[in-house]
Amino acid sequence: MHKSFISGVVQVQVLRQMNLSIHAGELTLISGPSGCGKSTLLSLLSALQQPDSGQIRALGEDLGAMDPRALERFRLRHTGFVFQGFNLFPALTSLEQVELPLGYLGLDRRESQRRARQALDEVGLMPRAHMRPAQLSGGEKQRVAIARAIAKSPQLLFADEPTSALDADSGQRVIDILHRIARTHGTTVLCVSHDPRLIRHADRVLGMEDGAIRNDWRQPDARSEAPDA
Amino acid sequence: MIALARKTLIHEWRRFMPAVFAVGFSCLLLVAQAALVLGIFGSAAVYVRASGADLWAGYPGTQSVNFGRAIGRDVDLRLAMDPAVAVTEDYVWVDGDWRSAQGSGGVSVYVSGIRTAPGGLLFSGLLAPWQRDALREPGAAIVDRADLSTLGTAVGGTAWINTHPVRVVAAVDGLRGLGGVNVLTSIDSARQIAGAEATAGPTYVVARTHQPEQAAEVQARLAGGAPGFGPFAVWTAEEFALRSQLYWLLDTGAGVAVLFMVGIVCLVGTVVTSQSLMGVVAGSAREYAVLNALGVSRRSLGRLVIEQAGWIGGLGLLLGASASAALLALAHAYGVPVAMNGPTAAACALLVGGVTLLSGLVAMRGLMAADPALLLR
Repeated sequence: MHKSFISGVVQVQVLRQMNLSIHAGELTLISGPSGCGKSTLLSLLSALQQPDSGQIRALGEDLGAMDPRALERFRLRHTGFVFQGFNLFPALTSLEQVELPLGYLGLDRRESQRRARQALDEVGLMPRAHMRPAQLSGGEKQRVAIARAIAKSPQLLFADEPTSALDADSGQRVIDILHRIARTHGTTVLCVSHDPRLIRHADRVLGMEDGAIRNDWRQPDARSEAPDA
Repeated sequence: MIALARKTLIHEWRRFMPAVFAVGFSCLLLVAQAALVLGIFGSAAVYVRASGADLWAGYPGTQSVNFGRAIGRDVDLRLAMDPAVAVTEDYVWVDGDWRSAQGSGGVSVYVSGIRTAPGGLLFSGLLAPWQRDALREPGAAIVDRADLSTLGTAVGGTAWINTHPVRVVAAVDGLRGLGGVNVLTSIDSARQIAGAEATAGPTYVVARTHQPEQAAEVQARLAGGAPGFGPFAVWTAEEFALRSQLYWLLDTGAGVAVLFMVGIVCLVGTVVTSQSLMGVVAGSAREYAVLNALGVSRRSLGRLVIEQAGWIGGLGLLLGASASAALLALAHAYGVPVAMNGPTAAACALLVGGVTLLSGLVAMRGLMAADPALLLR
């Protein structure tokens, strides 16, 4: 696939001739220097943007062929997103943050609350269920964001620099949670990060540079693969 | 479903207060403007609306009450002949020049000569029985309380109208009109002031029908006048009041200028409201982008924007309504000609509310062109 952006009169090619397969049930990390196209790749794979050319298939569906409304439905049903800047809503308590997307899925209040409590419990934040973001630390906010992402049991979880705004302890907790989600839920977790701790925990690390995958490394106990052309 | 719009409005009330105030201010602006127009131009028909008559007979083509000409002295008989008419009454209109005892310059006045017997129709909404009775005294006059200073007199004071002596026996509220100061006298006093003979015809004849609904029928029957009674036309009270108001509003420079000002005020109110709402929506851009990234459809986001705009509009209208009521009460206390009715207030609220909702949606469309992928870093 290809993707470029227009900046003024200049067209900047961000991704070039990329061919990539992400496997289910593992934590895949995309790493690379600033400006190499990691976030753009993440936005394409998570159905936030469309490629200029090429095909993106996820869960048996061609994302490139979908109209914006279908993409929104796909994101709602099948994906969870964790942002670098948390992006929580200041007015909502932790429980309400997690419940919010469940309401749009059509779940009733009772079921939404049950799932939200379960997700918060999984990230260890039930004691903070009735606190608003202003009362939470950075690590706690990110854990609420993860709970929000996993509450609808998505098949795909995307995380954009999830630990960069966090201290060492908080960052480690977040990494442990993401790793556990990939293992125990069978969720495909795709992270963009520089954090070396994430590299240690990832099942697969894709090194990017200048809009292309330069190397593809797997954990020694996983099956090795040569980088795709 | 979590009530994100409402909770955000409550929790971040400081962020939304400017928009609420902007809506409230626009509402106040519109209502004040409308109240002044209704009050000022409504006073052109004070002679009709403050009276208990259902029908007005006057010279054909009369554009406004203050442009009346004498009609035949038997017109009252013609009206009384109609089986639906219960009672008729003469009304003598005189243009006068008021000179106070203090010797200040002349003031243009409109003298209304009315029946002084109990139960008179003219100005029945303004005059207490004793006040109407007090007009029996030759040269007795009643003026509006707010005009006493303009006339340079007080209750009990004397003055001259067209060199005829008059004495102010009472002051009432709600008598102010357009173009000149209104003075009430008896028919005899008015004729003396006009220098007219007692046999001269009145300016208008007013009538009350047995049932108010019969007024339109009588008007239709007498629409073409009646041979032998001289030229006259008949209007229902509502028609004649509207006729007078529309003349002042549409056929005078002052009226056109006021209408132009109303247009400007509406435009200002609309712009202030829409810009405030657009600012609120733009300020929530990141929240909407996050929701869209989480998979919330643009349609649902539109509903969210509508809800938020609805809350802001509702609170703003509440604030505007309270401020408007206080302002109009203050204006009324100081004798400023203001008037308001239900349909006009509702129209102002609908305009401001509609602009609020529409602005939110227009801002929303602009935001949705933005890319949720921009949330990434």
